[in-house]
This record gives sequence, structure tokens and C-alpha cells, in this order.
Amino acid sequence: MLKKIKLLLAEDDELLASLLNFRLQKSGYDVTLSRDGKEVKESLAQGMPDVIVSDIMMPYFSGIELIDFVRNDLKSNIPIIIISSAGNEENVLSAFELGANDFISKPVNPSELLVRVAREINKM
Amino acid sequence: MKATYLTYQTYALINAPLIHTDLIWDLTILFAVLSILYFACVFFFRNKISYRNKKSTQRKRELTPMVSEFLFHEPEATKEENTNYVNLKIEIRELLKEPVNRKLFSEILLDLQKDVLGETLNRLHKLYIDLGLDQDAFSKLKSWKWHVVSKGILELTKMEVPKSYGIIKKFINTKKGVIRKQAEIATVTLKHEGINYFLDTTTHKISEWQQLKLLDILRNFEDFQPPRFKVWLTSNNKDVVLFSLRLVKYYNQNDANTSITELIKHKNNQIKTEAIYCIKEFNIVEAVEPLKNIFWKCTENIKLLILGAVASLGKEEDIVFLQLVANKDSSFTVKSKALGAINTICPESVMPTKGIDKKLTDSSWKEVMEYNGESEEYVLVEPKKDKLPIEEDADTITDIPVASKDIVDSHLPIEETTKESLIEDKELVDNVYGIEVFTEERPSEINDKEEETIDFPEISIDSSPEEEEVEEELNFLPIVVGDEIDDKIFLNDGIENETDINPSSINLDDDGIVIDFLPFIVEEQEDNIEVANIEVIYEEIVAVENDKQFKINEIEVIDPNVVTTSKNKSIDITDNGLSAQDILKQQDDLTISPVKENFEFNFIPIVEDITENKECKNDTVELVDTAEVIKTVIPKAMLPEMTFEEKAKQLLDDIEEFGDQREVSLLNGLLEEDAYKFISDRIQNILKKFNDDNAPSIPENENLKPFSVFEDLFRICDTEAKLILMDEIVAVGDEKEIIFLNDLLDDDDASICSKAEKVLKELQNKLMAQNILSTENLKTISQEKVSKEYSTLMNELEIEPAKPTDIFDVEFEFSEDVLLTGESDKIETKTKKIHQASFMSHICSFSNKIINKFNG
Repeated sequence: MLKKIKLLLAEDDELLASLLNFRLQKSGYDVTLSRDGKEVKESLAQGMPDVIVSDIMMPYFSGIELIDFVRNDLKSNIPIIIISSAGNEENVLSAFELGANDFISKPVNPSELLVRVAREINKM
Repeated sequence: MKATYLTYQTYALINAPLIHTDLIWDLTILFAVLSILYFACVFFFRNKISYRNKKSTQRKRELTPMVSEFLFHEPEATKEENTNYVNLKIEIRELLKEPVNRKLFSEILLDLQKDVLGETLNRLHKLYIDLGLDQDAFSKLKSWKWHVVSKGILELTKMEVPKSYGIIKKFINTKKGVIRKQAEIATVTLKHEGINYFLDTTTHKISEWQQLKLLDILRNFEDFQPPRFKVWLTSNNKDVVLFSLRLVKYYNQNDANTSITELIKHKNNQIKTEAIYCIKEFNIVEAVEPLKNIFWKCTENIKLLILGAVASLGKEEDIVFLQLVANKDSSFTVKSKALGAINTICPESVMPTKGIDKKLTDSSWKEVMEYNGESEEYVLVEPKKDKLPIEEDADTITDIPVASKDIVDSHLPIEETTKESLIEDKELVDNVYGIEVFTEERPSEINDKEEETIDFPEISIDSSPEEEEVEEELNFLPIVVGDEIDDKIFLNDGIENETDINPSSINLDDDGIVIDFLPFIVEEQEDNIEVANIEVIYEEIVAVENDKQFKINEIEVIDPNVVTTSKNKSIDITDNGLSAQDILKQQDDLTISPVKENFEFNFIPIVEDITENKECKNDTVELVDTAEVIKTVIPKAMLPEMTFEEKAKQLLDDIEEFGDQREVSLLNGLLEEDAYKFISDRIQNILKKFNDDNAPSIPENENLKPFSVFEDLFRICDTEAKLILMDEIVAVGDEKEIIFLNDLLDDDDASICSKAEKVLKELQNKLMAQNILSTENLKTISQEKVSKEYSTLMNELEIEPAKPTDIFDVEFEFSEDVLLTGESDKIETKTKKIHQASFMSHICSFSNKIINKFNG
């Protein structure tokens, strides 16, 4: 049996997180859901995922900080895809500067997210 | 002692009332209880609300995967998944029986619809309707609470329930602003033709914010064909007019120029402003005159806009108006804008005058030094004006503010208007604009300045001793063929200088050729040109027409590079017949040989003319038979001869680049004839390319849907119009409309469905009748043919048929109406037709006809 790809989904909007979680799980990913920055840190402490999909705006610990944490503190190069609402271009730029791999804007097309995740995994 | 006591004893003027201590305690207890009650209530309700929220959140968490399952369910899923899906459906049906769950499902779907996109969103909308949640929203529309109605409209709009369009549009003119605005947005969102209905029916104000939102909705429509918004420019609602104007501008609908021009006379300044923007946007040149007419009655902001429009659309004749504005308007901003507009139309017409130090501008740098008190160290030397090149002088003149002031003074009077000019202006204004103009003279700076004339370098070429030197020095001048100018040199777009050029003008060689018809372009300062004493008088622009005009099509074009000159070398231009090849050879040497080297060009006919007229002393040069001379003198282009292969290659290149399927036959012909292999290969490649290009254009298997003209009309009209149009389909429609009507059977609007069904039946009946008719016609034609053959045979045999009597005078014509009256009529008609079709049939039916005749 093939090993499932571990994906950390960090999204504070419960409904969207649940929807994306369902879609990603259905596509065969092993999804760990985190509602805020604290949970993200806890999840990362337990083990590194293969790919991170994170919202930029989260309580306690923003997506930008998460990228910084992963790249500089954890020294990890795992792919990070950020989700941001439209009109948040500055944050997106900061995220890319800090080492985000891809970006998807809200409203999210789940099929598009799947394609982007798959692409990042293929790059690994 | 007593007195002392009385003196120092104080008496209280007010005595504090005696309050019973028990009462205080009672009150304290009361307020304490009230406080406890209050906090208890707050605590209770807060907890209750929190609990409810928590519960609903928890419930949502449970329900969301269900929704996700529905949203992402694929029909080709595994059996297990399908079983789960069916069970889930049953479960949801049970859940939906409870209003709370219905509410929760609605909330979940509404929340999700703003976060998802694409196919997921479409499925979500479908799920909302499938679960019957739209019914709850519809019931909200019947509520007497405005906020509930508003929520209902919002829900239906977000979920894009097309059925709701008919109900929501009725709220467009409701009194409650919130509902009205919500309904406006919903109407425009739910159907593409909603904007038509909205603009047709709204009687209320449309706020700027609302306009922006509506425009945003329209912008985001896919496949939206905007209606012609000019229709609403005549609306009684000024906000509709304003919004329509903005939409006209946004969608670049420039077919309403007259209406837009008319709207600049609107009382509402916003509409006026928008109309002016449209005029500018669409370059409506004919609106300039109306703009000028309304100018004086407008507010300052509108005036500025009008001036902006005139600047961008105006021509030179509008400068008079702009001058008038610059002179007469009281507002500084308007004046400045008017001057700016003048400069936009005629660049550099108005030069800066304020704050310019006159002494600095009129003096040379050495004079300036003297002016600054530094002249002790320097000897003031008059600048050698005669050394200045003509062109440089011209530039200097245009750059001198004083001069320009004069120009403005004479040509474009701004502040320095004289009494006379003001009177003229007044008359002009009275005549043209019908307004009163103040004619008071204003203090002007220019009055302080003396009338100045610029010493324009005079080209005095009398028979002076310096003449020969001048001639030599002028030989380097490139001769540019321009308009004939008598004795005037134009500076900067029509600023005219009268120069006292001697009639003898400039001699180019010993024979004294006059070239004063040509503008001089001098590249370097020369010592020997006498230009010091030319007086420049600035006058109005005078267009000078040539007596002789060049016919453009008769002049062959010469590469301008050939005529380039070096600074110190000149070209002696005489008629010595230098061929083009020679010229081309020597083109590299066009650090052109001096006159003495006898390097001569023969391709400028005017120059030849000059040489022939060297004795001419007049100012003008007659350009006799210019075209003839050009034709004879200018050599033909030398093109290298092409070989057959090269020609063939060239031809095939052209065919490949510009050709299409039509060239296939030619190429096939060439292919058969041609002997060269490379050409054959090339032709085959081209043929292949054409075939490839042609192949995908019309896919063979594609089922093209017939186009119905009504389909387009349907997209842009509302329900009432659709119903009317459907009546027309019966009258003028054909087979193409059947498919379209079939599509309409699935329309969300029940009235359209039923009407479409009815119309479809009628149309089918009509088409059936037409088919029968056409079949019968065919039969008739064939039978007529037989009867003709019969009559021909009769003629050949010289047999005359029996003469017709009035008994046979039976009306055989049938109209379509008769056919459409009913089924029985059709059968009857059919019978009749068949019987009337041939001669034999006439005879057969003869007895019947007689009986019919007798019976009336």
C-alpha cells in the first residue's frame, strides 16, 4: 500500500476548512487540520508534513509567521501553499519573499487547490 | 458676654430633613436585588445565546461533511460511496423536517458560497434548490418585517435562484430603502435583462454607491450583451439618465451623440458633467459649438470641464472663444484653463509673460552682465546679428517672451486687449453667444513695454561687394521645397514675419538665381549673411496659397537621405543629368563635394527651374510644368533583373503569405507544369498548409444549432416583451424557431413555458400546413407541365380545344389563410387543389362545379 501524502491544512474558517479537508481527504491526502497558529505549531512539533496549505490570516500565528517559522526555525523546505483573500497582495508578496511556494486566492476553487498541491508535490 | 455669644454663634439657615434609616436600608436592598436580577438576566441570556451558538456551531460541524459529501459526490463513485450517498440523502430529508436544521443548512450553504468557486459553487447553488431551502427564503419575502424581507432577497440573490426574479423585481419601487436597494441588486444579478427592467421602472434615486455596485455586477457577468443604454437617456428619472450616461461611457456606446450633446443643457450639473465626459471620450466634435453656447451659464467646475473638452476637440477657430474666456471670465482658474486650452490647440501660442525679466530676455548675455553691474570688467560688444543663422534667429524669436507677448497681443489677445478689440469681441460674443461682455480695459503689463520689433536677420542681397561671398556661403543651404511664400517667412504655425528681403533675393551662383520661394534651413552660423536689419512685425495668421500648386501624385518620391548636406560643402544643382546609379554610388560620399567639384544632382525639378530662371529678379518662382520636368528628369529606379527561379520563389512566397484556398487550383496547375523539384516541393508544402488551415474551420461532425433571430432578442428583454415576441414567432417564425421554442419549454418562468408550448404547437401547425401547400404546389407544377405538354401536342396536331365558357370561370386561387382555418378545411382544400391541378381533373369535377354554381 502506498504511503499517503501528509498535508497540514491551516485554516481558521471552520466551514471552509471542513470542506477543503473533505475534498483533500477524498483525493487521497492524509490531512491534519489546524484551526489556528497554536494548533499549527503543535502539529509541526509532532511531525513535519509533506506539504502545508495555510491561510494567511489566522489567530495567534499568521501564515506569514508560519512560513518564517518553517523556513528559518525548522529549516525545512517543504512546499507551502498560502490561501489569501483578494486584495491582500502585500501579504502575499511578503509570503513569497519568505519562501512560500504557491498562492491561491479566496474564494477557493477546490479543484484548483488540488492541482496546485499535486504540482508542488511533483516538484519535490 | 451675651452680646459676644450672639455675635459669634452661627445659625443654620437650612435644616437637613430627617430621613428614616429603615427607608435607606429598604432602598439599598431594592437596588441590590434589581442589580442582581439585571446581572442574572444578562448572564442567563448571554449563556443562552452562547450555548445556542455553540450548539449551532457544533451542529454545523456535523452537517458540513454532509454538505461536502453532496458537493463532491461523483456519479462514477464506488458502490460503497453511492450507498453512503443514498443513506445521507435519506438522513438529510429527515433532518430538513426540523426548521432549525433547515436554517442551519441555509447558513452553511450561504457561508460556503462566498468561499468557493467554480464547479463547486454551481453544485452548491443546485443543492440549495434541491434541498428546498429556497422555499424558506420565498416565505421570508412575505414577512411584514423589512429586515426579514431584505434577508430573503439577499439569500435568493446569493444562491442565484432565477425563479425569484419575478417576485423580487416587484420590490424595486418599494418605499423601504433597504429592501429597494436589495431588490435592485437582485434584479440586475438574477437575469441579464434585469438591468433593462430596473432602468425602465425605477422611480427612486440611485445612489452613487448603488450605481457602483450595479456596474460591478454588470462587469462580472459572463456573456453579457449590454443593451443600448441611450434608450434611457430620455428617462424622467435623472438618476437613471446619469447612470445610463455612465453605462454608455463604460460600454463605449458611441451611437447616442445627439442625445449626449443635448444633455449638456440639462439642469442637473452631474448629468451635464457626465455628458461632457462622454463628449470627450467619444470625440464628439459637433458638440463643441453647443458647449461654447452653454459655457457662460455654467458653474465654474462645468466651465473647466467644457474648456477641457474644447481643448481636446477644438480647432483653431475655437481659439477666439478661448481668448474671450481668458479675457472675460472672472475666475482665475477658468482663465488659466482657457489659456491652457489655447496652447493645447495651438502649442506655444501663449507664452509665459508673468514674472519674466524683460531686460534679461531682450539682451544678450553681455548686456545682462552690464545690467548686473559687472560691465566694468567687460567691454560691451554688439552681437553680430548678421552672423546669426536664419533658423536660429527664428527660434530665438519664438522663444522671446516679449516677442511672444506681441504675438499674443496681435494674434491672441489675452489681457492686453485694446478697446477696439474688446468692442469687436463684444460684438462677437453678442452675436455668437448672446451674452453681455464687459469692455473695460484692464491694466496690462505690456502697455508698459514699448512696441518692440525684433531685428530679424535680413537677407540683403543687393549687388553689393559682399554679394558673391554671401552667395558662396549660402550654397551649403539645403533646399526644402515648401509652399511658396512671397516675401514672408512663417514662424511657428502661422506666426508671420514680414521681412524686407530684397527682391533680388539670394543668388546661388553667378547667374543670380532667385530662391526666395524656399524656406531656408541653415545648419551652421555663417559670417556673411546679412540678417541684422530685418524687421519682424507680427501679424495675424495669413494663409498664403500658392498660385501654382504641386500635384502630389505627379511628384516622385526621392529618398530624403540623398539630399542631406554637410556643413561646409554644397551641392551645385544643375541640369547635368546624373543618373540614379551614379547618385547611389556617390551616396556614401555625401559629405558632398563642393560646388567647384561640379558634383551635380539633376533630380530636383525646382532646382532646374531655378537654374533656368537665373535672370529672374522677382520674388516668386514660376514652377512651370513641374510634373513634366519631374518625369523627365528623375531617373527610373534600377531594379536587378530576376531569374525565373527567383520570380517563382517570390510568387510562391506571396501565395504562402497572402493566399488561401482559392489559390489551390493555381498551385495545382503550377505543380503539373513545373519542372523544378524545389518548386514542386514548395507548392506541395503550401497546398498542405492550406489544407491544414482549412480543415479545422468547419468540423464535419459538429451539429450546428440553427440560429434564431428571436434568441438574441430574448436575451435582452423582459418577460412581457418575451411574451409579445413569442406571438411574433407564430407570425414570422419557421423551423429554426422550433428548437428555440423547445429550449424555452425548460424556462424557469412558468408563463414563458406555457406560452412557448402554445406557440410551438401553433408554429408546428403552421409549418405543417406550409409543407402540405408546398407539396401540393410541386404537384401542381408537375401537372401543369403535363398539361403544357398536352397543349403542345394539341397545337402540333392543330386541334383546337373547346372555347371556355363562363361555366369554367371558377376561382382556383387559394390563400394560406384558408389552409390555416382548420383541419377539415385543409382536407377540403387539399381535395380541391388536387382536382384543380390538371385539365382532366377540371373535366372530372365539371359536374360538381356546375352544381355548386347553381347553388350559389
